[in-house]
Amino acid sequence: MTPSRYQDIDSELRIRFSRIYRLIIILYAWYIIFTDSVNSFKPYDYVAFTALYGVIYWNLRDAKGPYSLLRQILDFTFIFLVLYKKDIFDIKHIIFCFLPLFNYANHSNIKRNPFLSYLLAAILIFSLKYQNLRLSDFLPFLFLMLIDFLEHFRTRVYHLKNSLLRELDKMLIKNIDSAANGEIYKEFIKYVNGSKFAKVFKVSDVICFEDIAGEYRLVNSHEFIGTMTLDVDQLHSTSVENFKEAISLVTNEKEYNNYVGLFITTEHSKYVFLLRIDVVNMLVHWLIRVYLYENLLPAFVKIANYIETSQDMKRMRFRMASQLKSNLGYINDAVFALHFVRNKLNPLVNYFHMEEEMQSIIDDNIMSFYDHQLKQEKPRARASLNMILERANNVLDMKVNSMFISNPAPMEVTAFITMLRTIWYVDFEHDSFKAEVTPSNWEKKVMVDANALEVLFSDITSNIKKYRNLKQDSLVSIKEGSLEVRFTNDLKADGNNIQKFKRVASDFTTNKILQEKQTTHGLTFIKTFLNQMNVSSSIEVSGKQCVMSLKFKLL
Amino acid sequence: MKRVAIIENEYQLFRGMFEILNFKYYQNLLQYENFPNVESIDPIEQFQDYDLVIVDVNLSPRSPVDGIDIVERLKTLQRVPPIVIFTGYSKTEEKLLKRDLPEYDIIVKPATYDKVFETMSKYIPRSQSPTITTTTP
Repeated sequence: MTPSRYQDIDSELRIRFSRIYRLIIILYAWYIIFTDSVNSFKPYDYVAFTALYGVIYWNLRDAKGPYSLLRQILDFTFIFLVLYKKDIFDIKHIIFCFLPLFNYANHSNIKRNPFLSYLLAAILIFSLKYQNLRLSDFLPFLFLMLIDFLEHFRTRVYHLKNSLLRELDKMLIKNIDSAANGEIYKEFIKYVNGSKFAKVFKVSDVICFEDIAGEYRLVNSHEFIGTMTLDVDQLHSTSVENFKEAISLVTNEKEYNNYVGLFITTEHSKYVFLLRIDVVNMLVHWLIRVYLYENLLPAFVKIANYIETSQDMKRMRFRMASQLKSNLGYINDAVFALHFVRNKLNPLVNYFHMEEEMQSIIDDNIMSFYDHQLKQEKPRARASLNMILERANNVLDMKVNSMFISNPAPMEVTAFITMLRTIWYVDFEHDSFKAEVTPSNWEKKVMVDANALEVLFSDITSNIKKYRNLKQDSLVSIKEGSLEVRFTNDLKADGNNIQKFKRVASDFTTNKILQEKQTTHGLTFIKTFLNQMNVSSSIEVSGKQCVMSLKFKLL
Repeated sequence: MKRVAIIENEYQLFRGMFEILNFKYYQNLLQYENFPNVESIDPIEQFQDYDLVIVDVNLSPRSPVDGIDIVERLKTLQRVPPIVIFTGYSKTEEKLLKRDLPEYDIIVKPATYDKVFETMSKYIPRSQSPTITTTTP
């Protein structure tokens, strides 16, 4: 849901509640008219008042800003007409007077001033009972108004908080790196200093640190920091869990002691955001500062999560770059090896070329020269051949192969099933996947390289898809201390191909597939991965049905 | 006598091929001289007196310059000798084009003495009569 959509839905709900509220006023009015023994007007007068109220309300329903006040005046006028010359202190009458005040939370205009509602209610009561009214009768209004004011304040701060989060969202959607590079703080400061917060305090700087075991590492800041001195002990002693005031900091050779620290804990890290605060209203700031700063926390939780995600992504990019570098290194080695081979092949090529030419030489002297050269070339050819084989073995050596499994780690059976199921559902029907694992085994683990396993499953499902005919399924179960996965495929093949499949299946099961260069590169790759993860694997072909079985040892 | 300079760090792999070529096509009238590394090519002026310079473009990985750098240096000589590129790289032609050296003939390794002669003969024509006679199979 986009922020603007959220705002639309919120306004729409308020408008609907506003209409329901008017309906309640009308129903309440008619409840009074019917239950009161004496009414000041004739029934058709009340019908006329109600109709007029409805029509005028309908015309004012979209009035915005100061014009929305007209709707309140209309409500109080209608209430005045219904209660005219009635006992105002009758419980059902006095509650009717207060209905517009109780409706405050549902008001369609969130910027409504509560004082106006109380003023109108006071005027209403004064108009209905002005002869007998004492000044002390207005005192309860003050108490009510005070409570309402607090609620009003809370709602305003709540809206400010939501609005701030929406602004940050907009910024992050526009530039996802803005949290990581500190650009987001400009937006934050602009928003806070332009909002009602600025009546209490203004923010002039934001600095973020990551707490790594008590050491505070600078993450980013609103302004560039050339030099900085921070006594970190100030951050350790917080009386409130996530808030600390009057932090001193020297940045760019200027000393400030008006930083406020907001402490955020994300899933993997701890961050502290230091906000340089310039207090505008000392009294209000002193009274409600903790509440105000607490309402800024969600914005920093959001920023902290983005920072953490960016850092994770950076680490991931670094890992991928390292992996890529290693892959490129492997490819380079292979390319160099081929160039090396071309050089070393020369004596062999010449040897065979000479030998071939000798078949047609008739001159004895020439033959003798060739014979001598051939004898000279032979050891060079043999040495070259040995060097070529040695280099080929190096290239094929799995220890330098970039595909080598490097990060085996325990994986829960549930995570394993989830991964396989997600990959399986990309190509196959939902009912073709079954996991027969009882809940008692869910937390058991297998040792795998998660990235390699994902690649492996994708490769297996691609292979199944490539050769499938009608029916495929996969079954995960636990048997004899192993997590077993069985992939069954109904092969699209004729008699000759079935024989070929049987041969390949047998080579796969016996590892022969790795010893000889085959055309089935996909299966060779799968077998290599499985062996590297110590997964026992086999393929059986019976008729047109092919079953691949993988057994992952449970830890 | 015709003088052929072979700038090649693994000359021993090609010695047999060049000897047969000399015998078969030039009645041993070619005089080969091997320059196995960068140090041996100095002074570069020495190559002015050669009838052909064969340059291996992929010298040892430890070599600070490659064969194409040497070709560029040879081009600066007052008398530029005929130059042939000897290479195991399939993309040498592109490499030469990039370095603005498109005019040189390339012998791709592995090569037979007959193949090498096809290129060499453009610069050093064969002797009047072939040294060997062969029967047609």
